[in-house]
Amino acid sequence: MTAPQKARILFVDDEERIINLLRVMFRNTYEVFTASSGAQALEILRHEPIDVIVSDQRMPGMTGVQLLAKVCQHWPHTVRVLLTGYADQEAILGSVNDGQIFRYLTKPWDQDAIRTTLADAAEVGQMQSRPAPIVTPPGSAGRAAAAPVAGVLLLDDSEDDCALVRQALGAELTVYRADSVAGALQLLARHAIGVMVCEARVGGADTGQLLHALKTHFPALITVMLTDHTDADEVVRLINQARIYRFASKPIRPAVLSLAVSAAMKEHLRCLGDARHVALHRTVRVAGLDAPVPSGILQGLKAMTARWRLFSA
Amino acid sequence: MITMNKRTWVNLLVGAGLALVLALLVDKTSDVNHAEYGEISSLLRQLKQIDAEWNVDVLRSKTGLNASYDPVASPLPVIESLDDLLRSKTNLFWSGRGDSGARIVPLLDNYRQLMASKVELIDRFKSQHSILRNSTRYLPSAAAEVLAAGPAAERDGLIQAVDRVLVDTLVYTDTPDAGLVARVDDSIAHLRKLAKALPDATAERIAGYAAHAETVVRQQQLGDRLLKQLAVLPTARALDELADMNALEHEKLLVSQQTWRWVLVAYSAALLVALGWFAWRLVASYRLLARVNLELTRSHDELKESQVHLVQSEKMSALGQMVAGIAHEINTPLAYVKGTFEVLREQVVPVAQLAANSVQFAQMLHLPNEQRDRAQLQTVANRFDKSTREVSGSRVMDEMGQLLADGIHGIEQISEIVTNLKNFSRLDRAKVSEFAVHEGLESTLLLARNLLKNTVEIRRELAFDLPKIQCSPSQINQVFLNIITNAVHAMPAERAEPGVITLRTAREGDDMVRIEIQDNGSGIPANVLPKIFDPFYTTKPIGKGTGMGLSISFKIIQEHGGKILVDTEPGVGTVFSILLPLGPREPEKSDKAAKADKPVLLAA
Repeated sequence: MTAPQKARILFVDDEERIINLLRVMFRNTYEVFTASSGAQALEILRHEPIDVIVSDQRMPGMTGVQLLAKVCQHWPHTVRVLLTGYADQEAILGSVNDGQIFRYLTKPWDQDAIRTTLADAAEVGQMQSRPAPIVTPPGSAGRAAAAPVAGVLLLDDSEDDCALVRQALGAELTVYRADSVAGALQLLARHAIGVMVCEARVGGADTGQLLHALKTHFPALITVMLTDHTDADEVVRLINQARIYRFASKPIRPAVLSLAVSAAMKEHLRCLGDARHVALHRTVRVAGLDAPVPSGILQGLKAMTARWRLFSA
Repeated sequence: MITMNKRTWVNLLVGAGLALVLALLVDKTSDVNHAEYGEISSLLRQLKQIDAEWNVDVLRSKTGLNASYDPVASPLPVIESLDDLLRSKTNLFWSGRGDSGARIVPLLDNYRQLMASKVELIDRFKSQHSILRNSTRYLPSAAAEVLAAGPAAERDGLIQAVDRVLVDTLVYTDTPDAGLVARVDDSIAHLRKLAKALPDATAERIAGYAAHAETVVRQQQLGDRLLKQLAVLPTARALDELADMNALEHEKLLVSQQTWRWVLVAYSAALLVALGWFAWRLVASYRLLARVNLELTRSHDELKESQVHLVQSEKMSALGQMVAGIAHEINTPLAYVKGTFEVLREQVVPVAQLAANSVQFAQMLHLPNEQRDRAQLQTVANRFDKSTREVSGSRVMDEMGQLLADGIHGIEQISEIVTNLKNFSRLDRAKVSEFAVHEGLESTLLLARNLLKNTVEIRRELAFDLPKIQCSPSQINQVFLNIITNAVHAMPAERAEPGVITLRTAREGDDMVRIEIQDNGSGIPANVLPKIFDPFYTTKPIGKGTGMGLSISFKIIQEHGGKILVDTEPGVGTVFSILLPLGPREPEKSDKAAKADKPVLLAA
């Protein structure tokens, strides 16, 4: 309603009824486009500027992840959302690594959740296509040289992994290593960190909460997550709440990891230079999750905030 | 194999080495021939005795106690033969005993050399002595000849001088003292001086006599020298040394033999210990073998047991896959049914509002005129008007109809799936019942729809008049599902040609039906084909398949008295043909029949 123009959303699903339903639901709020296959969706994208694309995964001809990967490549400003009832681990990881999706929604959906998510996506999407306000801080070009080169924080309690990661990255990037959440916070407060490489569980503790808190407060901190056989629901939660930028499957392959981290570092620099881009890293608003953040994390965040201002202001 | 050979060689070499050492030790400790040694000792003793006696004989000969030379000459052959014997015995005994022989043989040689010198000296002594004795015996008669020829005038002086020579010479031969030689020489010189004054014939006799006396003295001197030489010849000492050395070496030999014996004992003990160790090892490994055997037997039993579990878990795994598929199948209609209802709930709000507003408006209209408040009526009318526009403008009513129709469609879809589930499992029916093959195939396809959707086209070439068969429907459906699932998995993900599964049914003879499930997938490689019905054989990645599917299918068809055939061509596709009898048939139980009943595998 604040936007002078309605956001333009494209729904892609091979089930006609789903498309109908979504059209009915959002017709009043957005300008709705629909397609029943990937090819059709691409055809629409070629002719219409689209802010948000919402796609199913299993469709004849082209899967949702394949479609979103193409969109990511050719129309990077279009915000990508996957809406599917099919939770195949490979597809989920692919949606992040290849499609760089903004949100992962499950079928059947929750009415409020899908509305908020699409509102978020629409806002971010419109922001991307808006040409004007570049919020690059004045003199940032000069500062970039003076600012310390951002390092990589590795949060992992396995020595073997640590050695592998160092082997993969050591040459070009400074790697700080923490084996606990507290240690990670200390390092984040002390050093300029651009990318965090992290395990789903460290020292028996779930890192999801930390990542969510960090990402919410510091969207420009890009996360690469090492996974083995994580639960699919867990991965979906990480995508939405912690905005994982890349998943690197274990066992670690140095070449793959190195690629992922350098892409993440590029993304980090882009976020620093372009405030619009930061919006793409917005986390989902989780009711009641902010409250139980352990005080340790909160204190760490405070210290980090100070450091971050120094670094990016 | 190579390492094995190498090991065997090493073992053989070590064994041979040990045996060699043992043989060497036995040789070192082999018993010394003590009789031989005793003979050598006694030979040495004899030689020594003979040598001593010989010395005495020589002395006796010299002093004239022995009338003849026989005793002096007689030991010679004895000595010679003993000497030969000694030499051969010594060589025999000491040869091959290392340094001992080297130490003894020089001593023996030394003795033999000495003995040779002694024999030579004695020979010379013998001849000297005979000359001496002859000269000595002849001297008195020579003196008498001189006296007889001498002139009477000088007789007394001559007698005196000749006697003096005779006496002095005989005294000298009796006691050969060096001082006496001067006296004899003196006497001879005196006689020769006398002879100058005497007539030539006498002088000549005197010269012969004097020469004779001198010969006696010289021979006596020679004899003395020879005796002296004989006396210093250390044959006895050489013999003693030889005997001592023999004894010493013999002693050494015994000592070293004793040492070697100890070594042999120690070595044998070590070998025994090693043998014991090997025996213990053997016993231990037998025990280990027994234990491993026991464990193997146990794990074999466990394996048998777990095979039963696995068959069960394959069923569960197939069930799990099916459930996941069904869940997804239900999920899609469920998603829009739920969405539809939520939208409807929202849409109902303005409709309800319209209803409420229209009721209020109608009430206002029905009021008598005097009670009507114009302003209020206006408000209500406006509200009513607004609701009406809201409802009609947003096409709510049109949409509601459509949404409700969609919702009902979704519910129908869900109930269709549930019906199919019931049909598939047939748990509500008797275990063996009438079964329409086509219905079974259709319900299987519906269950597999999630798998087939968007990837595979189904073609049906079904017989019109296929009779129903008596079977266990859920089991036969399980077989269908298994083969169709495999067919889908055999379709390569990326290829131009679309996947096609063809279902074919036909009567086979009078009492059987044939069901063919044909795919145009990758086919089964020849090396895989013989194993497809083996339990646990799978080409799928770990965790994706238990490898029990076809094995169970085979068993099911076999228990129904039917057959399962495979015809495959790599790259072209595979046909699974199932032959089932119309009525229940006892599966053939005998082993022969079971063997004959093996799946028929054809590779094109």
